[in-house]
Formats: sequence, structure tokens, C-alpha cells
Amino acid sequence: MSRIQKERDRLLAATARTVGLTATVTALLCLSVPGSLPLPLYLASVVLIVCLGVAQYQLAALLRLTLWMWVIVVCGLALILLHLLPGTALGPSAISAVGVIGAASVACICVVAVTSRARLVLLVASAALTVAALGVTLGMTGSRMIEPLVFTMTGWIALTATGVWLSRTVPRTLKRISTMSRAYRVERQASETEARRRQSARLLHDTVLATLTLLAHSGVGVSHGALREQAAEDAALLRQLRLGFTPDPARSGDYKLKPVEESTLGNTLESVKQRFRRMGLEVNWHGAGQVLLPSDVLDAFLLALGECLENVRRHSGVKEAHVTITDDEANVRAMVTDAGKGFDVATIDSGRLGFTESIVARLRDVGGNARLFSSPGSGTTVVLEVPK
Amino acid sequence: MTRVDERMVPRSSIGRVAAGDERDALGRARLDVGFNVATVALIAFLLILFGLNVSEYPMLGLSVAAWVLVAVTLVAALVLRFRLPDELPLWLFLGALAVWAAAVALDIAGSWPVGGATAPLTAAAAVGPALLLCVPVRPARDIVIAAGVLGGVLLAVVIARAIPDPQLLGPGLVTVAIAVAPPVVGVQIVRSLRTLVQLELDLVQVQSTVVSPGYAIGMLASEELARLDLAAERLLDGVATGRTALPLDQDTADAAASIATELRLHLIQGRKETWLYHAVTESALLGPSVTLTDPDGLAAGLSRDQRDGLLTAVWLLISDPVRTGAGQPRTLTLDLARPVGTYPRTSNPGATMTIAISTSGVPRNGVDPAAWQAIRKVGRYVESFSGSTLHIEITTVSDTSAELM
Repeated sequence: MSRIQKERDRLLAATARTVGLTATVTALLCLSVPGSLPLPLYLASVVLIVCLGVAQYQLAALLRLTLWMWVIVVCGLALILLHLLPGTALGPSAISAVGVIGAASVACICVVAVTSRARLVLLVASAALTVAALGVTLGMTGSRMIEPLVFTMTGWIALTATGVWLSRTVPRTLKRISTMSRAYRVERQASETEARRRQSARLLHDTVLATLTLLAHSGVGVSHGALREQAAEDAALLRQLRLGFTPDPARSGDYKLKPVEESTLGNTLESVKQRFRRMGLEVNWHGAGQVLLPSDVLDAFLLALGECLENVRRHSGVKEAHVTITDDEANVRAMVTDAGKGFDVATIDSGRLGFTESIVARLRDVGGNARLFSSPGSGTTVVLEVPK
Repeated sequence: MTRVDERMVPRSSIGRVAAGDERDALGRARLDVGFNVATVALIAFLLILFGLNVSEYPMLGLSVAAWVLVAVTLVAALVLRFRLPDELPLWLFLGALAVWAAAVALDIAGSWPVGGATAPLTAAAAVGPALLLCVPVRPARDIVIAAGVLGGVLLAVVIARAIPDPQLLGPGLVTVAIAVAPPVVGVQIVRSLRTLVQLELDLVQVQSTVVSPGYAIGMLASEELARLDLAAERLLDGVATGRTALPLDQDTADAAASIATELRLHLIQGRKETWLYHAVTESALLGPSVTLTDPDGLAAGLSRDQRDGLLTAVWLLISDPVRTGAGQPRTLTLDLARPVGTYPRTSNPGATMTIAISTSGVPRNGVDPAAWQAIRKVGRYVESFSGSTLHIEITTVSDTSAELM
């Protein structure tokens, strides 16, 4: 709230300053017309006008606002009353000067005065004093009274109205904007949930990525029929994802409601096996088939497994791989072995994106790890480990 | 011009529409009313002035005709106001200007001093306050130009008439001021209000990151991911239905490869950025002016209150010159680091951090007190000035139970 008030006061004060300074400059020009005031009085009025201008300029700083408002009122009244001193009827320019001082130079304070009760008192008092000073000055010098008085009252009314409307508009506007923060928050949450939903569908993206990569490499080693079949399956999954489902052959039910839902490994492994069979790699499973894993761990595990098998398919030169799943109290382990070419582990740059990013990084995400054993000519073994 | 750049980060359509609606609706209806009161008061005064001097007019008929023209446009404006689109159509504005120009010409002719008569310009001056009605519905430039032309014409007339008697210059100058000041002040008000609204919209958007997870995907990445998924779906669908021939031609193969690469990057990189990074990059104000260094993603460990404090402080420090209308946003650097002497991986990873803020061009006492108040919510701080650069170093103990996602 205090910030809203501050923005409001800032706008009011800036408006008051512009109005006040414009009026003060006009008054100075009027007084500077030859014959408006005797020279000594003119010089005195210039001093007062400078004080008035400084005070009006200071309004926008919002510091010691009430003090500066009083300075404006006092200087303005002094300027008006100063015209009593010649003791003769005022000329048109002098009348215009006192009029504009009363109607806007002093009245500019009402733009800022509408914000508090104490300042409203100041507003009413200074309005009365201004009208009185004008009445006295013009009356005692026998000058024409009606126009400056009407002008002054108009100025006070118009500026008070402006102040009141502005002081209501700003907080109302800002409050309305702040109610929009809820909309933004909801939107952000929705976008976050959506992104998370898509990211969580890692298994799906895994197969999509594999298929896309195959396609990009002109599907080397895979029959066109198999590739079409795979593409159709993946496109259907993506369509489901787009329509708001979370398609995942490994899961049942709405995982959003049960984020720590566990799934069995067995039927999921079957889908991985099918996928690689289409691409020409026979995967043989050994060991435990009924392991329960939290869904995020399962995702990471299957993804890493898929990457390992893809490496075997691409690099090993053999058409068969063995996956042995074992589990104990704390961990589930998968050993991926092939009898292919193998390679020298030392020659692989440890930062190579393929292994670290796709396999190790995701396993570490869920608290697991991966180890790689290989030597040229004697196949490759990767051990993947995730906590239960 | 201090207007904040409209070029906001593309948001989803809901946000964009809501923001647009708000921006249009904001303040306009109410400002109209405020300006109406001021307009009517000033024009009433000028009419009274006309009434008081009615016997002085050498050619009263012309001035009365001028007043009739002004009155017609005012009535038309008040009647049409609710039926017009948000922006006054150009032809209507030009039409109003033409009528007003005629009124000015008639009034000048009607009050032209013949034989020492000193009738004031009234209907011509009333065009200025009438112009105030157009301020919320026309671009600032139009209003300023119109007011400038009006002021120039009136000033020339006033000076010409004051040649025989310089004392007449005073009332003339007041007339010019009455004509020119209201529309110009109105333009200033509308412009400040617009800046204010844009800044607030930006702040509100930025603050919505306060409750987002420590590491988030961000609005942009989410849209991007959806886009990639759709592209992949289309490509795969093409292959599946046989629309795309196998093996793929070079272009399609390249497309598949690039979709796969981007998708992989998005799936892996998604959560590496903190809420603070997203807050800064998504903001039209903070984006260009804040340099954020947070290699360890420490910002993720800040609690909701700390985030709110930090964002508010940064926002206040930067936007101050914009809000006062003094100039462009300041630039600011924000460095989050572990305190010197702490091992990177202590047993309590989110325990303490130092946030160093430095920004230049801040006057020594010119920091918004609300900024200090906001910083206090983040942690203990020490501030120092070197030259015109303000350094604030905050030491924070972050809430380790905060959501670390």
C-alpha cells in the first residue's frame, strides 16, 4: 500500500509542479510588463516569485511536502498583498498577475493537498486566505475585482477536481494491476506444469528421439516398414501428449495425482525390447522382472538403458545384447553386455556428451550411477544402478 | 521520452489479451471524468469572462458564433464519448480541429480592437481546455502540436494587440496560458500514468516467479518444448502415413536431426535455470538492464519472502529514474556466490550466500527507502558508495526447507 501511495503522490506532485511553475512564469511575465509595478516593488516581487518557483519545484521531491506547500501559500499571498503598496488602482497586467497567482500558482497545492485530512485543512484555509487577500488587495486599491476572483475560484475548483480524480485513479489502477498477479501466477504455473508434463514423458521422448535420429540418418539398418510402424506409434503418442494425456505405456492412471506412483519394470522392459527388435537388435533379458520403482527413477533407468542399447546397436557390430537385472534391498542394477568390438575406455573423453549427458547425468539425477567396462575385442559391459 | 519499451517477452495469449485489455481500460474512463471537470470549469470561466465584457465586443456576432462552434463540439464530445472506439478516429479529430480553428478565427475577428475597445479572447482560449478532452484518446504528439499551434496563433494576436498599450499584454498572456497549459499538463499526466501502468505490469509479471519452483522451466521454454513436440509429431506422422517418402530427402533429414537435437537440449537443460533467471529474462524492464551471475544456481535456495524482497529491491533500484520521468532505467549487476571460505559442497548446500548488487548513477540519498526495506527481507546487508556506484552486499541464510526442485 505504501508503494501505491508513493506512486500516487509522485504523480500528483509532478502535476502540481508543472501547473504551479507554468502559472508562476506567466505571473512573472505579466509583472514584467512595463508599468505593472514600481521598480522596487517589482524587484521584491521577483524575489518572492523565485521563492515561489523554488518551492513549487521542490514539490516533486516529495520531501517535507507540507512545508513547501506552506512556503507556496505564504509567498503567493505576499505577492498578492504586495500590490496594496502602490495604493493606486492596478493596471490590467498587474490584475492578470495577481489573478494567475491566486488561480494557479498558489492553487497548485490543491492537487497534492487532497491526499490527507491535515492537508485538506491547509487547502481550505489557503483557498479562503487567497480569496480574502485578492479581495482586500483589489478592493482597497479600487481595481476591477470580479474577473480575478472568478478566475481564482475556477482555478481552485479545476485543480482540486484534477487532484481528487488523480488520487483515486492511481491507487485503483495499481490495485487492479496487482490483482492481475494472480492471473500471471496461474499462467506461470500452468506453463510450468505443462512443461513438466512434457518433460516427464521422458520415456516417450526417448523413443521419439531415437526414431528422429534414425530418420535423420536415413534409417540405416532398419526396414522402411519397421520405421513407418515406429513413426506411427511415436506420432500417436505425441498426439496424445498434445491433447493433454500423458501417454506412457509403462504407467496406468493419472500420474499427476499420484506423483510417487510406482510401476513395475517388467512390462516396460518389454516395450524397450520391441523397439530395439524393430531396429535390428535382439535384447535378451535375464533376472528379476517384477521390480517396483518410483516413476522418475524408472524413467531415468529406462532412458539410460535405452541409450546403452542404442550404443550397442550402433557401435558394437553385433546383433544381440544381454541385459541382466538384479536387485537387492536398496538398489536395482542392470548389466548391459555385448560380445562386440569393444573399445579402449581410456580413449573415450570423459566429457563426451553421449555417455555423460544421456546416461550418467540422468542416473545421478535420481541418485544412481553408471560404470563402463570395455576393452578392444572383448565386448562392452555397462552397469547401471539406481536406488529403489 | 521515458516510455518503457512495449516489446515484452511473448507471453501466452491469455496473458497478452488480459494485459492489453487492462492497459486500454486503465485509467482512461476515470481520467476522462477528471478532465471533464477541469475542462468544464475553465470553459465556464471563459464564458463568464465573455459575459462580463459582452458590451465591449466590436463584432459580437462573430464571437457568439465562435462560442456556438465550441459549444457544439463540446456537446458532441460528451454525447459521442461512450460510442467512440478507444482511439478517436483521425478524421473525427481533424474535423474537431477544423471546427476549433474556425472558432479561433471567428473569435479573433469578433474581438479585434476597433476604436480602443479591449474585448478579451474567450472562445479562442476555450479551445485549449476543449483539447484536453482529446488527451486520453489521441497520441500525445497530436495534442502537443495542436496546443502549440493554438498557443502560437494566440500569442501572435495578443502581441499584435498589445502594441498600442503594453499593459494589455498581461491579460493576453494569461489567455494564452489558459489555452495551452491544460492540454499540455493533461498529456504529461497521461504519459506518467502510462509509464506507471507499464512498470507495474512488468513488476507483477516478474513477481509471479516468486512462488515458482527454485529451478523452473520458464514460460518461454515451455512454449518451445510444445512447439518441438508438435514439429516432431508432424514429421513422424508424415513418415507413418507415407506422405513423406523413405529414405528422407536431405532437407527433411536435416529437419529431423535439428528437431532431435533441440528436443534433447530442452529435455536435458530444462531445469538448469533458476526462477531469478526467468524473472530477469522475461521482464521488459529488468531484461536489458540486469546482468545476473549465479553459476551455482544459488537463487533457487531463496525463500518466497527473500525472493520477493530481492526482486522488489532490484526493480526499485532500476526503475527509479523511469518512474520520476528522469530518464532510462539504470543498469545493475547481481552476483550470487557462496561466502569466501566455504567449500562448494558443505553438508548444508543452501546454507549461506552473498548477494552482491552494484548499480551506478544512484544519488547518495536517492535510493527509495522501500528498496532498503525489501533488502532487509533478504538478509543482513552492508552498503557502500564508490564514486557514483552503489554496492550492496547481502548475506543471507536461506531456508533449507525451501522448495529445491
